[in-house]
Formats: sequence, structure tokens, C-alpha cells
Amino acid sequence: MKVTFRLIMPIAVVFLLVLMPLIVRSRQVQHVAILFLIFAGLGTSWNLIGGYGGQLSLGHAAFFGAGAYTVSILWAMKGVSFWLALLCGMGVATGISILVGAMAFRLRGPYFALATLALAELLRIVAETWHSLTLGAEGIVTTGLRLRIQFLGADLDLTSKVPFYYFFLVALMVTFAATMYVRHGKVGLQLLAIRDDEDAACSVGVKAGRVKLSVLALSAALTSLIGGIYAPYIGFVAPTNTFGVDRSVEIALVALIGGAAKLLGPIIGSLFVVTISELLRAWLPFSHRLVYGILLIIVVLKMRGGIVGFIEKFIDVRGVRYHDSTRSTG
Amino acid sequence: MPEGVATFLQTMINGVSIGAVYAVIAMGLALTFGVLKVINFAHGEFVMIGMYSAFGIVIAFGADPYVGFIPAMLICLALGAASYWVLFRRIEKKPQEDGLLLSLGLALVLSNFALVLFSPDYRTVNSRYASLGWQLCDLSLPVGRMITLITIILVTILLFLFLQHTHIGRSVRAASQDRDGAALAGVNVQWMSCLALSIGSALCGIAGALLLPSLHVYPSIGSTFTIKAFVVVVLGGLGNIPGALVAGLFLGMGESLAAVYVSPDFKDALGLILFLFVLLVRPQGLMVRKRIA
Repeated sequence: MKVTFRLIMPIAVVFLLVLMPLIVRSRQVQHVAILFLIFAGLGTSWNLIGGYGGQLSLGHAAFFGAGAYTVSILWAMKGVSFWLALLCGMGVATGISILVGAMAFRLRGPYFALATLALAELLRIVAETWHSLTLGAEGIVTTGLRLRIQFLGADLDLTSKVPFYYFFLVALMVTFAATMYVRHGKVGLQLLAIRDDEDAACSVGVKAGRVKLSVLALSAALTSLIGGIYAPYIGFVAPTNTFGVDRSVEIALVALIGGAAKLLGPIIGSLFVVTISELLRAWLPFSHRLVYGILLIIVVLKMRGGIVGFIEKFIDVRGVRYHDSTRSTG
Repeated sequence: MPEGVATFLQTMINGVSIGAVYAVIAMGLALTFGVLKVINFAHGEFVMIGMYSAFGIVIAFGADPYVGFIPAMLICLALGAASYWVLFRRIEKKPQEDGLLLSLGLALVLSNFALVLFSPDYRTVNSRYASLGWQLCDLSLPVGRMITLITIILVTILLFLFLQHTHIGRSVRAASQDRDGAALAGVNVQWMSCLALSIGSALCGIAGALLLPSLHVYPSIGSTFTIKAFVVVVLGGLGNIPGALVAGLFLGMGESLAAVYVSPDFKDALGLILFLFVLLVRPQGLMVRKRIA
């Protein structure tokens, strides 16, 4: 009975997610659903290095922006095929991550966070000042009649949100699958060992640098994938909505509130964050980030495992009693 | 005076006055970090609070904006103490990341609370005399900048006198050097932590109030100062207060020179590049002798 439930639930959820845009026609609701998918995907990819890896990155917007800007420059400005531009974006982000990781992983904990923050800020300034490449602070417009994305030979209707919904859904599923693969594989075990005690892990032969670097690269690639799809969806890319500190914080926040180092954490976190944002928008504008801050404080002080961690204390989610991968006791 | 020399000297003067502001904010962060060992992301928000406080005082009482730094300082002192008692006290035994995340949450709360209260509009106050200045040869010394500089110099002197020559100051330094050792020697490290955070925040408040006439304040201006403060503190060595002073002046002058002789865009990038360089190559900072990595 329990096994059947655990098998049917995910399938049912995925089924519903796939059907959703065909059932619900309201563009407003579709947009909210897309936001949910975006942040769930971003949070899940952050979770790879930030949650399981224990390396708090406060500059993931660097990868997001790298994807968004590469697509904007290559596809919107130079007419390169969208899919090729997307791949290039992932390549750029991966490259940046390897460079950064090689240097910054020497730093522990908070210093790594600061370095990633500085990196994202630096990229933001570069985007703002390198006018010939990025059109500076005004940003690049990514919608227009000439701009086309082709899928299976046909031009997609970019005025509708439906194709984007499916893009982001696929991106989320890829990211989720990647996380499951890492988590349950050898890399995942090594990663968790590094997170809990890097020196001890090294002493038993875990190549910490290499593991961290590969996971960061994966995280960067997935983040930039979402960033690249975001560019045509949102209609324009500017230094602030892509590389901004607020973006980095949101990405980390989604995973932390939902539950870092938990598979479902960022997804639940995204559900929470997007719902709160939409609810508050009508009631008290500008206040959603205030609530995020309060939630973050509560999570840090009382619910270190996030919402999922909190639920897990009461409900035996996994069906097997074993200590999952988070410092649930501090 | 030949034009090149005048330009250079003017750049230096501007650099020192900006650098002084960076220095005072960074010294606050160095003090906080030294005692609490927490990377405080909310530090720059106290500058924002200082600015809004001074703004409020000017609007409500018609006071001179440069006098507003006293109430701003007191408000930030109180808020800093409150932050310690409500929040930072609880993560003393936890890993450093927790403190960082907590301060991030606090930063979000502070800046967005200001956003809700004041809306995103830019505000400033005009001082009738701030832009008047003395002209010395070809150099211009605006009154506003001079007041800022002199106030900061006085505050810095007071800070050093406090830390070096008072019993409490010595206790604070002890807590910063070795928390457990200080506790064993009878220092109440909780109170010292509270004091450090309060003074650090108060320094930000002073800086913010002094900056108000020359800058526009908006709720999210805090993060700019936080980043600058981190750059300076890392350059000078985390927890090293004289280092923060020197590094702040150094950064101010460096930015000023970069703005004039390279390009204004490069100004903000300079600090970040130095920051990354120092973090990766010499994480103990440029002013510290011992190696930590």
C-alpha cells in the first residue's frame, strides 16, 4: 500500500504539472506557475553545491545572468539559433564556474560566500559598463517579431506562455533528475562527506577539490539553462534583473527556506516563496522580501532543515528511518 | 599651480574624504567581526538607517542635517544592541554560516521594512552651506565634505581612545582576540559582543547621517555599503580595526584615482577586483603579518 502510494504520488504530480497549462488558461496563473517552476529549478540547482555541498553560494546570479546574457547577445542580437545560444550560455557559465571554483574553493564557509557575492557583483558591473557587448544598463530586449524559436521544425508562438511553461518544466525535471543522480551516487556521498568535515573526507581519499568543482560546474550549467530560457520569457535582460544581489539571495533563499540538502526542499521552498509573493502583492506591496527575511531568520534559528526538515520530524516521509543528509541536530 | 598637479591633489582630497567614510563604516564591521566572529550582511543597512534617521530629524524638527548624526548614532546604537539580544546572541555556538545567513535575513528585514515605510523614492536633504567651499589655490574644499571628514576624524580618535585606554575597551579587545580566554579572565563576552555590535552599528549611523546631504537615500542603498565595507575589511584584515582605517582610506583614494585616470565605470570594479585578489591570494588581508591560509 505504502509502496503504491509512493510510486503513484510523483507520477500524479508530474502528470498534473504537464497538463496544467492546457487546463488553466489564465495568463496570470500561468505566469505564477512559471515563476514557481523557475525558482524551483534555480533552487534545486543551487542546492547541489549550496545544500549537499555545504558551500554557501551567494553569487549564483552570476551563472543565471551568464546564461541569460549569452542567449540575449547571441540569439536576440546576433541571430544565432536559440538552442545553440542556450548551449553556449551553459558553456560560458560552466567555464566561469570552473575558473571561480578553482580559485574560491580554497576558501572556507563564509569567505566562499563573500567571493561568490563579489563575483556576481563584478559581472553586474561588467554588464553595466561594457556597452558594446551588453548595451549597458538599459539591457537587451529579447522579444520581437524577428525573434523565433523553432521546435521540431515549427516556429513556436512566443506570445503565449505555454511553450515557456514546458521549457521551464523540462529544465526543472532535468535539474531534479541530476540532483537525484548526484545524491544517490558516489559523488553525492563524497559531497556530503566534504560538507560535514572536509579534512576528514580528504584523509580517507576523497578528492575534495575535484568533487566540489564538478558539482559547482553542474550547478552552474543548470542555473544558466534556466537563465537562458528566462531571457526570451521575460522580454529583456538588464544587469540588475539577472546579475543582481537580490537574484542571488532569492535563489539561495528558496533552497534554504524549503530545506537545503533535501530533494524536495527547493521545490517546497519555491511553492512557499512564490505563493507568499503573490498573496502579499495585493495586500501589502513591497512587503514580500520582508517576509522572506523573517522566514530566513526563523529557519536559521529554529528550523535549520527548512520546511521539509521540519515536516520530516513529524512525518516519516521516506518510509525508511534513516538520518537524511542535513545537520538536523545542528 | 600646474593643472596636472591640481587635478591630482583634488583627486587625493576627494579620495580621502570618501575613504574616511569607507573607513568609519569598515571599522564598525571590523569591530563587530572581531568580537562576534560573524560576517554581518546587515552592516550596510545601518548606514541606510542612519541616513533615514537623519532625514527624519531634519524633516520633523528642521534641524541642520549635519547635526542629525547624533540622533542617527543613538538610533543605530539601540538597533544594534537589539539585533544582538534578539538574534545574534542565539547563534554564538553555531557554525559561522548560520551567523551569515541570520545577518542576511536581518538585512532583508531592515531594508524591506524601510521600503514599506518609505517607498522606493529617492530622498535627500539640502544643506544651504554644504556645497559652499573654500578655494585654496586651485583646489576646492566643500564645507560639507570637510565637516564629514573632521567629524569622522574625531569619532575615530574617540574610538581608539576608548579601545586602548578604557577598561571596557580593553575587555572588548580581549573578547576579540580570544573569546574563551577573555571569558576565563572575567570578561562578560556577551556584553562585549552586544557592545561591539552596537558601536559598529552606531558608526554606520554616523556615516549615514553625514552622507545624507550629498547622497540620495533609498531603501536598498544598504547593500552597496555592505559590499564596500567587506572589501575594506578584507583588505585590511578581518577584525583588524586600524587595518580597516588604513584600507578604507586606501580604497577611497584608489577609487578616486581610478575614476579620474582610468574611467568612472572602473571605480566600483576596482574594489571588487582587489577584494577577490586579496581573498584568494592573501586572505589574511594586506595589513596583517600572520598567515591564516
